[in-house]
Amino acid sequence: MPDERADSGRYQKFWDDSDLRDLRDDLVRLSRRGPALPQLPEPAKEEPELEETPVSEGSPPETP
Amino acid sequence: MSDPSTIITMTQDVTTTVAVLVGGGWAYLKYVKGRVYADRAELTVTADLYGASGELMAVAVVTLANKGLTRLRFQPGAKVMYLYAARRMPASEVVVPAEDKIVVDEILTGHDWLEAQESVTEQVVFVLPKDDWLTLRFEAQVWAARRRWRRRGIRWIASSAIPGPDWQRGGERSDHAR
Repeated sequence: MPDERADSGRYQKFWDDSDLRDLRDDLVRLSRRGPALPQLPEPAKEEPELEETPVSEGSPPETP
Repeated sequence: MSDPSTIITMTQDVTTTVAVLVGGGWAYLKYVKGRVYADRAELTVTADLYGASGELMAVAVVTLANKGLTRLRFQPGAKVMYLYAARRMPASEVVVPAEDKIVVDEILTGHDWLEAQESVTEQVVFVLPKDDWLTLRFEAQVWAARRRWRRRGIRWIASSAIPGPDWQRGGERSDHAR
């Protein structure tokens, strides 16, 4: 396995409507996306049961 | 004619005309001929290849820098990375590898424009079977949106070719050496 990174050659060019059509054709014809990961099942949401707790209204502090 | 006010008025007219011509010429040279507000960009691509049993992963890094002084607007859906590949062929004679366009994918999808002097980098990953590839070539294309009333636009193209797996620099293929 070669351990090297190739430098890029670059240039600029004009484009017109026919180039744009070719690009769109390529995107339809050659675009290959792998399958998406299956969705993980969402954990079942259980409503927490609210325990009825007696509400203490509080008694006044005992005074000696 | 010898009236001093007439002479002053004429002098002012001539001076104004010369100033307008000089200013217009300077603006033309600076902004039109000098293309100050032209779209300028620098696109680069590098690529690495990684191997696993039966598969290859190619990671290409694309960088786009707006080198101009204006915001660079992109043509919608026209920023792409092509992968070209050439299969190994008999090397008994000198040949230029025949490349096939294998796959294309959109890149820099989160960007509709790039501010002046701004740059963005993105990694693009391709997975392909570990075939007997001779070369893999990554070609990025970024198309600028057409200016109003223009029939043509500008696109920047950068490509980077790397040898297929098992090829060593300046020598035998590693599978022959083993």
